[in-house]
Amino acid sequence: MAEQEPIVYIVDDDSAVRNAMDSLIRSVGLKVRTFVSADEFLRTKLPTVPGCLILDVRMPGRSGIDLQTELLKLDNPIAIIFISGHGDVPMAVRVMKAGAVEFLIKPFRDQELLDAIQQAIGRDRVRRNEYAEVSQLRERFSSLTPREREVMQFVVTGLLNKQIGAKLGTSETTIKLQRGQVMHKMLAESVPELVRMAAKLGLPS
Amino acid sequence: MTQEEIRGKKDEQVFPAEHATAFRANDLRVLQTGVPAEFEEEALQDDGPHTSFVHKFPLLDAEGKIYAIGGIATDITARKRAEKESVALKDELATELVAMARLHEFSTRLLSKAELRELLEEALRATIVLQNADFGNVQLYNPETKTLEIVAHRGFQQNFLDYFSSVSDTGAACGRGLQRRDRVIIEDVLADPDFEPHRQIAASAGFRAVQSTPLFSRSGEPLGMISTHFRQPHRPSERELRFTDLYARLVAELMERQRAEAALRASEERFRHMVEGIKDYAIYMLDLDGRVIAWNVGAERMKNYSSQEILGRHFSRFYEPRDVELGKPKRALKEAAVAGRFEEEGWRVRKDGSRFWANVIMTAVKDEAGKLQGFVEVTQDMTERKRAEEALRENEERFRSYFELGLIGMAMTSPTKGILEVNDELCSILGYERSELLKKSWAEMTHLDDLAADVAQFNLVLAGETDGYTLDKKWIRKDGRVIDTIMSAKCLRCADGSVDYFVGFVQDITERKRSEEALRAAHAELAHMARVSTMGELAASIAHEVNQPLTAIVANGDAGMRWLSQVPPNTDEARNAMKEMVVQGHRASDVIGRIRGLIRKAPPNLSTFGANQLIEDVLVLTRQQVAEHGITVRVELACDIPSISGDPVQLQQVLVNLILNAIEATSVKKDGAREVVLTSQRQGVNEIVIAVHDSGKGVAPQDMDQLFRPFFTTKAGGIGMGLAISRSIIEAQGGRLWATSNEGIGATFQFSLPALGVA
Repeated sequence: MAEQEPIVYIVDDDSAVRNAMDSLIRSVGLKVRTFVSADEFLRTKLPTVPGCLILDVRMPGRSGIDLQTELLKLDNPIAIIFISGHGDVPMAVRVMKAGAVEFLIKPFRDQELLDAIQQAIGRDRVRRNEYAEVSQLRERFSSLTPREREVMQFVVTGLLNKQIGAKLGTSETTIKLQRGQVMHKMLAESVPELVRMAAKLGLPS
Repeated sequence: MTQEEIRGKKDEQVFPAEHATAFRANDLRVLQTGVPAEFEEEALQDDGPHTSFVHKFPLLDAEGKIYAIGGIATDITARKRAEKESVALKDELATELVAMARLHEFSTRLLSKAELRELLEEALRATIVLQNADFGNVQLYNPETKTLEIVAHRGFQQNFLDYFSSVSDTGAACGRGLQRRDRVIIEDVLADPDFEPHRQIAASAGFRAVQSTPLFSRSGEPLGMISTHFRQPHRPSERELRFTDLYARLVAELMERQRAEAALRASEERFRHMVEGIKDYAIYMLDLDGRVIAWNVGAERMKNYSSQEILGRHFSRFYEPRDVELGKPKRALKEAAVAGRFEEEGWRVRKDGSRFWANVIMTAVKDEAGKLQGFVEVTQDMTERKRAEEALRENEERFRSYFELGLIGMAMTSPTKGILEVNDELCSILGYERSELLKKSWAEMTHLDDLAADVAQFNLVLAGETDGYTLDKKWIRKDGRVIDTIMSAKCLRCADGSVDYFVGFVQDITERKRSEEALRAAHAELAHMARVSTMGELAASIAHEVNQPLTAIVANGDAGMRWLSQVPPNTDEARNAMKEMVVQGHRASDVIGRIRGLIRKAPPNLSTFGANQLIEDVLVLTRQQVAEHGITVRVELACDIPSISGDPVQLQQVLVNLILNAIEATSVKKDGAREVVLTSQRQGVNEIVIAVHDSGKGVAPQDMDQLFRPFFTTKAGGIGMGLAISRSIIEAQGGRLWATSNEGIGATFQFSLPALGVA
C-alpha cells in the first residue's frame, strides 16, 4: 500500500487566521482542510491518511480543549498542535499532558508551525502504521475459534501442549493441532512473534 | 249804725232804695197775711252787701190786731258766700273730674301702646281731644341732626308735612319750644311777628293758632314735640294746658322707657348673638340646681351636645364620673353661689366620653335685688395648651437631661458674660475642670485655623442675620492636643432681638475623622484599583481582539514570502496573502476604534450637578494620594459656574485620572514647589472648563501628539490607556480633553463640558 499524502486539518473560528494558516501551510506543499468549529470537525468522516490537527484554544461553543478531550474518548489519536492568543502556562501543560504535539502563541513564527506540523505528521504516520498492524492482528485474532483463542492465550503465557491439554481436559495431540491452526491463522512464524502479537492485542500474559 | 241812729227811721232813710223797697214788700206781706214769714234780705253795710235771714212776725195787741211787725235778723252773709263758692267749686270739680277721667282713660290707652309709633299716634289723638284742637302733629327729636321730624299728624296736607318735615328754625312754634325748652303758644299767627315766614303755609294748612308742648326725658334731653293747631285765633284754657302737661310727661316717660327697652332689646340681642356665635368657648347657663338652660354654638362644638339634647340636663354630665362622686359639680355651684365666681382647670367629658382639659369659669347671675338666678359657665378647651405646656416641660427636661447626660459637649454662653454653664462632657472633651472652663473664652481655645470662620459666623448671629451655625472646628485642649469637632451654636434672643445667650454643642470627632480619613484612603485605593483592573481587563480584551488580525497578518506575510520563493513563484497565492494582510491590518485598526466606540456607546448615567461639586468630590477621593506624596493642592473655583450634565462617575474617573497623573508628575520633582492647581471656569457662553495644572517635568513636544493614543505611555508601569479612555469619556459627553505645556514648569490637562441652562 503506497504512502498516502498527509492532510493538515485546521479548526479555527476566525476565518482570517484560518485562511492565513491555510495559505501558509499550502505554500509548503501540504494538503489542508479547514473547519470553522469543533463540531464541524467531529461530524466529518476523515480519510485514513496521515495528518495533524491545528486547533485554536479559544472558540465559541466547543473549545479546542473540549475537542481534544472528545477525540481521546473516541479513540482518535490524531496529533494536535494548539494555537492560543495568550500564553497560559497551566493550560499549555494540561494539553501537552493530554498528548498535544505543540502549544503555539499567536502570532507565531511560520517555521515553528511548520516544524510542529512535520513532527505531528511523522508521529501520526508511526501511530497510524501501528494502528494498521494492530487492526490486522485483530482481524486475524477474530478469525480464531473460541478454543483456538484459549489455546493462544495459554501458549503466549509459556505453557506446554501437555499442560494446556490438562487445563482444557483434552489430549496433547488435539492441542498441538489447534496450536498449529493459531500460528497459521495469526501468520506467526514463531512463539516469540505470537507473544509480541498478543502484547499488541493487549491480551493478558 | 247805732240804735240811736237807726231808731225812728224809715227803711228808706237807712237803706238804699231797692233794698228798702224789698224790706217793705216783705213787711207788707206779713201785715196782710198776719202770718209770720222768713225772708232773705240784702242790706248794704259798711263793708259791703250783707245777706240776712230775717224771721218776720206780726205783733198783736190784746184784740188780736196787728200793731207792729217784729223781726229777727241773722246775718248769713258769710254762709251765703260759702254756699255760692261751694257750688262753683262743685262745678269746677265735676269738670276737673271729667277731664281727669278722660286723662286717665287716655293714659291707660297710652300704656297699652307697645310700639313707639302707636304710642305717638295715640298721644296726638289724645292731645287734640284734650285741647279741642283742629289739627295736630307729633315730632321726634333727632339728636344727630338736632332737628324735629314729624312722625304723626292729623289734618294736614302733604305740602305742610313737606314744609315742616325737619324743623330747626326757631320761628315756628315747635322750633321755638325746643329752643326755650318750654311750651309755646301762638294765639294768632298773623299777630306773631316771629311766625311771619310761615304764615303762608299756615294759611294754606288753615290754622291761625298753634300750641307746641315739648317732650323731655327725665334727664332733660329733648325727645320730641306735640303740637296742636286751631282754625281760629285761640288760646287753650289753663286746664287744658295743665292736662296736656300731665299727659305729655306721661308720653315722654313712656317714650323714654320704650327707647330704653328697645336699646336693651338690641343690646340683649347683640349679646345673645355674640354669645351664641362664640365658637372657641363653650358658654352656657345653668339654673340654680345646675341644669342647663342655655347653650351656645361653642358649647355644642366643644361638648358635642346639641342644645335640644342638653337643655334641662344636669351639668354634672360634663364631669368625669370620679369627679361627680367626689362631689365636684356641687362644690363648684356652691362656691360660685357664695363667692360669685368659681374658676378651675380640670378634665371635662364630651358626649362621646372623650376627655379634654378645660379652663372653667362659673359666674353667679343675680337679679337687681341680689337674688341668685343661676350661673353662667364659660369653658375653654385647654388640651392643646396643656399638651404644649407638657411638651415644653418635657423639652426642658429632655434638654436638661441631654445637658447632664453627656453624649455631647454642651455649653451656654452669653455674648457679654462669657461662658455661663458647661456640662461634664465638654470638660472632658477640652480637658479642663468645669471651674477652669467657666473662666475661659471660646476664642482662646479655638484653633487658629478656624478662629476667623467661627468669629465671622458669630458676628452674623450677633447682627441678627442667622440664629445659629454649624462648623467643623478644631480646638486646642488644655494639654495642647488639637482635636476635631463639629460645633453647632444656636442663639436665644431677648425680646428686643439681641442675643440673650448661645447654646453650643460640641462633638469630638477626632477619632471619627481619623477613621474617615482611613476610609477615604481605602476608598481612593479601591477606586484606583478598580480603575487599574478595569483597564487591565480592557487591555486583555484589546490584546485578544488585536491579536487575531495580527496573527493573520503575520501568517499571511510568511505565506506570501513562501509563495514567492517557490520556483516558479506562485504570485496569485502571494497576492491573495498580501491582500489578506491589508484587510487584516484594517481589521486591527477597526478593533481599536470599536473599543473606543464601546466606551462611547455605554449609555452614560446622566445627571445634573455642579462642576465645583465634581472637583470637591474628587478631591476627597484623591486626598490620600495628595497627602502621601506631600503635594499641595490649590483650588481656584469660579463661583458663578453653571451646572453640567453628564455621568458623574465617569467624569470623576476622568478627573481622578488627571489628578493622579498630575500627582505622579509632580512627585517626581525633588525641589521647588510641589503644587497641583485645580481650576474651574466658564469659557464662552456655554462651556465650562475644568483644568488640572501640575508642576512636573511637563510633556516633551514630540510626545504631545501621542498623549491621547492608546498604549502610549511615558511611565514605567503604565499601560497608556488612561488618557485615551478619558478622552473617549469626555467626548462621549459632548466635551473635549486636551493638554498644554505650562509656561515655566509642568503641564495642564483640561476638559470642557457643555454648560446647562444657557440659552
